[in-house]
Amino acid sequence: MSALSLASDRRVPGSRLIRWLRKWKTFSLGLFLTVIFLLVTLFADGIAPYDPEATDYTTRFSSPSLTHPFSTDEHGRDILSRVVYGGRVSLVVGIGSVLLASIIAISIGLMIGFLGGRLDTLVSRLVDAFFAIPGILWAITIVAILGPSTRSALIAIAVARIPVTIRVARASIIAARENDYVEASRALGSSWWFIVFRTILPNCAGPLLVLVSLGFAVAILDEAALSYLGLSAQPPTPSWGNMLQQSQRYLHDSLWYVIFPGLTLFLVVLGLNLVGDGIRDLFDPRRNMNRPG
Amino acid sequence: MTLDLLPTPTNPVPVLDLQDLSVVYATEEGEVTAVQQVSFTLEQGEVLGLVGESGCGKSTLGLTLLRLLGWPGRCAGGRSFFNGQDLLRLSQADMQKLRGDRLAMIFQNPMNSLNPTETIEAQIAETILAHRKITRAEARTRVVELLELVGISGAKDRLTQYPFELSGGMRQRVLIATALALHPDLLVADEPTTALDLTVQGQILWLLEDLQKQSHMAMIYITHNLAVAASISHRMAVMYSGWLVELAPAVELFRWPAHPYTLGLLASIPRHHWRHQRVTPIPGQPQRRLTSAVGCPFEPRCGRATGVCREDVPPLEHIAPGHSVRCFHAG
Repeated sequence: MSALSLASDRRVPGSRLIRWLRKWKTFSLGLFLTVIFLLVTLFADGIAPYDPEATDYTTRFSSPSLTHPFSTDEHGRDILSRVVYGGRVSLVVGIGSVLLASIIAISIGLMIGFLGGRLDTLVSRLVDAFFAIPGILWAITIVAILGPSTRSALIAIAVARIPVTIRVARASIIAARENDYVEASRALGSSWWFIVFRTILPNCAGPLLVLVSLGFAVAILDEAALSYLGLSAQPPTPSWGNMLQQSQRYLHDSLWYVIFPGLTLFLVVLGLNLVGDGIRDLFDPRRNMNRPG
Repeated sequence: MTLDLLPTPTNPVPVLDLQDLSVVYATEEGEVTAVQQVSFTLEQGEVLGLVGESGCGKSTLGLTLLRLLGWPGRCAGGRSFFNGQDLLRLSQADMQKLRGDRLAMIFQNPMNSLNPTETIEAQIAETILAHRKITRAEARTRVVELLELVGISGAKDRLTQYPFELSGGMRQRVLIATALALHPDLLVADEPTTALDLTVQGQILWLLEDLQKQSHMAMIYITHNLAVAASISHRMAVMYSGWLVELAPAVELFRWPAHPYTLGLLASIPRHHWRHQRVTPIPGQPQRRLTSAVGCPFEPRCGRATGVCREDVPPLEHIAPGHSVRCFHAG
């Protein structure tokens, strides 16, 4: 990098960030998609042109047009509005389940990783046992017990995600615990609180952050799967999964009905995955940060 | 606030009084001796150089003093009186109060002994704040004083730096500053210069020596480098296979080494004027020693060994004032 380009950094604020983003094209694309998803979902009330649940039987299965850009469904409801509001369910379940799972699993992982011993063995074997059952099956069982709703889906997806998070948290905590500075910190009389939360935890933040960031995409897909099965948000509340499920019956009447919710789901999951991959690369020590991949 | 690193009145009780301290490690073949009935005392302001080859138990001894030894290590007996109280009988909570305050330790690898996610200030201040009820601002003043004390230039600017911004020698200085933050009575230095460049080694050694003299604290300097140990210590203790085999004033150990192992160690120091001579290594390898083993631990490698050496461990006998040796055939 020449002195000239360094000087230009100072003149144009943010130009370094822009250059960095241009270098990391896939991450930028992911970030772009994610930011759009977040903005649209947060400002759904202003963006959605219609009430997502308002029916209008005069315009059933209309093709995409200026009045209904994403066409309309079997009740004449505006699909754009439904996709926008459906994003809310995805966002709430995605963030909620990942946070819930992370808080519970990281606490457990921190405890068993730090204390070790029999408790560690017991919990680790329990986690292994959980791995024998597919996550979605767990989620279906839990929703069946709690009754189908967005809240149940959130809890179910969180529970299904806990074992893998415990495993990663425990492994990275055990690795971090073996560092010399942990022993040095003990030798200098630090409290266990300081050792756990300021010495060990920040030093295993990398793998945990990657797991959490990749977790959003998985959670949103799981939510779509559950609502496709009718186990999450209940109609008429729109969610991408239940829209896809309903659209199936009308494939011959309107292909647009299935395309728009499906495409949205695809782009949002793609965006979140690319962001997750970018974060993983950031924390990969073998990766040369100046050479994007 | 100024640093009051002045000698305090002499204490009638030794700072450290080890009595028959034993540590074992659990292995699949049985319990292996790491430290075997080690006894010595350490007076205020005294530096003891603890030397021996890798695996002789010198670091284990250091960790045991601070009760930092974890599984599979276990203290198998003995007493460790520190300022009159037996450390081995203290609760972990009381022990934590002592560590970093009256009793501190610095480690071999400065590159990895500082937490990479905390600033220099936060790490030093944590030790102070864990033991003293003072404000963060007061702690900061103290941290700056300490950094200046250990010879770090621009101490104020260093406060917000992270360990990766410092060189190895600087990091060891920071660790020393942390260990000395509350004027400990005893500092255990476990090979503090081994991982550093030769020139930096010298600087750190002088710094430690200087600070030790100023503060009049007792220090155990663990190293495998006899020359380094000799330059800083008043007395030296030689360990072999967990046993203390020779304890003598530093000068005397070099002039009149009595134990065959000490002789072997001295013979294997390379000297610059020995152009055409090779160093004389001690034959054989140190061996793991089960707790059930009998006889002198050095017997398999010893040129003086006789029948009695295979049957009993020799007692630690005084052969001169302040000089004791564990050998049937000393001299």
